[in-house]
Amino acid sequence: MQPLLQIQDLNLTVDGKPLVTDLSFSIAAGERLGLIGESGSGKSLTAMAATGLLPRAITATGAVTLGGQQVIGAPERVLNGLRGTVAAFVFQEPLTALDPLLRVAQQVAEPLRRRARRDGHELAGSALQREVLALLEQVALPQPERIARSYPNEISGGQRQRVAIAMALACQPQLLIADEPTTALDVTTQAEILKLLDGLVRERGMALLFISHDLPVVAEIVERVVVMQRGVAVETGPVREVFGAPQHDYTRALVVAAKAFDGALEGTA
Amino acid sequence: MSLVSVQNVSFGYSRDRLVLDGVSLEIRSGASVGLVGESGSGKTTLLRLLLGLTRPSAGEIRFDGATLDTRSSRYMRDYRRQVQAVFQDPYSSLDPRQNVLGIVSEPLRSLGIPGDRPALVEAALVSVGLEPDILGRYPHEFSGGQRQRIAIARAIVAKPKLLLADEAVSALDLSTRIRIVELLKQLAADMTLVFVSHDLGVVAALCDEMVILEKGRIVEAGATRKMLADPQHPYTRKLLGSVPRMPA
Repeated sequence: MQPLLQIQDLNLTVDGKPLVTDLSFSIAAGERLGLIGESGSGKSLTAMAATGLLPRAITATGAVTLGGQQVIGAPERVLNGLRGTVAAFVFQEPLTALDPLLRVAQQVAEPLRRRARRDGHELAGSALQREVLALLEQVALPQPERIARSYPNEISGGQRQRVAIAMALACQPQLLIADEPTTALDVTTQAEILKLLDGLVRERGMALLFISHDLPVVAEIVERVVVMQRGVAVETGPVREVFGAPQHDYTRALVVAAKAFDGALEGTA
Repeated sequence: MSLVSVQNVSFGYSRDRLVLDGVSLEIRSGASVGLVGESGSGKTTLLRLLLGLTRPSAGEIRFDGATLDTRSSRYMRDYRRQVQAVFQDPYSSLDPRQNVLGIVSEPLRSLGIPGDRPALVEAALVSVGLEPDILGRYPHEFSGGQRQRIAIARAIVAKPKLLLADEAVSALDLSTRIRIVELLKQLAADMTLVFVSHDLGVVAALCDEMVILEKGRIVEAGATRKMLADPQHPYTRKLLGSVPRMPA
């Protein structure tokens, strides 16, 4: 079976300067993959390249196949068909991902309407309203009626991220791409959102591309990881193997640092 | 003896909504104390009060036995010499148009501290692990971790008694973060450190004592080791339980 997302020999450059070099990996349907790296590693750019969202100034070569469709060089019309249907995004900062001037209900309604149109029927009025509330319930938002009426600034950061997740789910994508989805959140909220994402991905059999700099967070939610350093994948493998016995010096340094803070918490450092 | 004594301090922007509610805290001379809390806990407000940037609505802060008197410019000048700060983002906390000498010597100039400024700056740079020959270079030439070292050099150049750090390693990559934590730990041996952070792992690695804030109140305070091993308050337990750990 063809993987859902296949990236082969991807090279990204800006003015001839390499940003991502000879990157290859794939995600099968229902698989959960973590892309780990520090700032400047190219992990977010890779996710943008996967859905054809790269800024114009960046040149991409190689092959990116999403849902059987070549993404690099594809016209916007084709890419728009893939977005939402095949893959949907959840970003780091839910405050900027949401439109501050629209009530939550209006924002969540938009992708729902789009999906209905894609499936060949129109969704409006009270039927649409019901679907919005059902979706808000699925992301475990308390008092969905109240949240639906609220503007983004009237709800908490964790609630905003739940709304953003609801919008991504509205299109029933096969692949959810989450780019540092818990980095801007408090630690207790982060734990809740990770649990929610984990449950939703499992329930729906979605594939997950989880991008993060935070090793323990990644370890909680994915099966396999790709470690990136300055645009190059330095190590790939099952998360327990890579974190348990890292082969590359860079991975080893990251694991040692992460374990040092863990050790401090356990009182062993 | 306490270097800082926070006595029943409250702060609010309006009378019925307090950001800090009756907070009391003693900071021993030489201690390294982590102020831990999530957004809305009041940890940053407490730091602003300690910096003398804001006045408490009620209660009092005492430093070295005297009241922190934000209204007296003479007192505040002396206070600034004793108390310096490092902030979260090393990209916005350094003036891009000043070179390293200008940035690090700024406290010496504004506080009117006499002496051989370039020599004092070089000594500060060396103690934060930077080469002394970077005086003529500008912030954009440095990485995030190096910038944070420059910011720390500026904070310690006037040899303060108390260093206040606000999420000082949160914006840094993991591998850089651990090195800056090591540096702060080393510096904390010779001064008092108050380290504000949402990151329990970093506080555990750096601070001997910690204070847990929730919604403007202190819920638990004490020796870090003891609190980690045997947290008393349900909120402390919730915080500790929420920190993701590496797989065994």
